[in-house]
Amino acid sequence: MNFHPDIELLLKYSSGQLAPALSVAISLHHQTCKQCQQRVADLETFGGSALETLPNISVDLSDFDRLLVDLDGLPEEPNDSEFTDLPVANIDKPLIKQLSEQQFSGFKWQRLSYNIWRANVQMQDPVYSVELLKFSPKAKIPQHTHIGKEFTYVLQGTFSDHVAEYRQGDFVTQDKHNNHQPKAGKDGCICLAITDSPIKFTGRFSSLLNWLNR
Amino acid sequence: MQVQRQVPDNLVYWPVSGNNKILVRMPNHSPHSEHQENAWETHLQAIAVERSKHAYKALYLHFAPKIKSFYLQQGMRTNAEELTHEVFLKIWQKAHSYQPSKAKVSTWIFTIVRNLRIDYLRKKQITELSDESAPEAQDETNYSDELHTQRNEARLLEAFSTLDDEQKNVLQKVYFEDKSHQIAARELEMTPGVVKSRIRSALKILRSHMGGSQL
Ligand SMILES: [Zn+2]
Repeated sequence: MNFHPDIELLLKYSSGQLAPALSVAISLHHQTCKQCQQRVADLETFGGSALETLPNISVDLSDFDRLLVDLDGLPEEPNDSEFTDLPVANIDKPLIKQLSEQQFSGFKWQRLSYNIWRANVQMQDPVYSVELLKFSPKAKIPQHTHIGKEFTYVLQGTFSDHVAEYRQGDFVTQDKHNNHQPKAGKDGCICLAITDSPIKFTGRFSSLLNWLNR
Repeated sequence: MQVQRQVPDNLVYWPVSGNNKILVRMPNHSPHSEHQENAWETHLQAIAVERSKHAYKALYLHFAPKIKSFYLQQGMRTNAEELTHEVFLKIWQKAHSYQPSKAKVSTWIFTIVRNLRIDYLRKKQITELSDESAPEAQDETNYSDELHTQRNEARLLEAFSTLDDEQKNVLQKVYFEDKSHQIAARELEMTPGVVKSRIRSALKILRSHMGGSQL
């Protein structure tokens, strides 16, 4: 694994300030990347220290009594079993489970071209749109530019562009200036793509793809 | 600041608001903080194993005022009490899953506080990504080459100790207290422009300690 979220993304992720779509993508990387597990742990330690420095706001001892009352009848285990410690909303955890277990058949795949498929991922994220992209082996991913930013998490397989080869588990950030033409690896590729504005394809077939991509 | 050099490495001055400087002990090292840390670990263990309400209360008296403060500072005025309440229910339920080898007690509690906040805000459908709280994503300069030194193993925590007070303060305010640049600027008596540049320089330092490739 060679490509990690930038420190700023990790800071926001660890402090719970990141947009839902990006939190999901980073949590997938976080689960599999030892280095980022250490980084997030360090940032959480920073968060714990920050918590300790906050001024004390007086609490009512009756609040504590209320707590004791509520302890009776509280289930022994909280009902958040899996992925409980990840900084993501509970509502997103089924999706994270589905993606980390590589269960891709449950999505509504739509064919963009003979070797490219896409599926919309429904999330209530006001800023980012999320989609799955699937490429056949060696598929040339049509030229596209980003109006905004694009974040890609490689769920399966590999793809490469003029910069590097990206493998399963990599988290890739591409900025708006890239007009790149990536290519899927020999086993094809499934990616989670997060964009803050729709991807615009340029070049051949572009109008068709852009139309499909609306 | 000179003051900082006169104290052991593990101590950092960490002003939280205005000119009030509070001495904060950074993780590990200091025998005193270790002692206190061990005490909290023992408390959590007593909660987990003996279901000790005595230990629970001690933990509450220390952490509840800070947790309430955390939620209040983030604009959750009406819900700060309720959220603090929920944090402690979770602490009671999850005490047995706490692993001292993995995290300090304050870190562990922070993650519970943070996650309840995430769920609360998500339920309210409030986006966290306002322009104000999002500093510029990247510096104009190309940092990847100059800072791409082989320091893959360097811990971020070590990097934090190389930040100066101003840099730490802006990071804490903007990222961990979720304050806008304007509010952070007012509280730290800086201009918003200085806040921005402090964030940029702090991120640059932290980034250089990450090693590896970040595109
Ligand atoms: Zn990583």
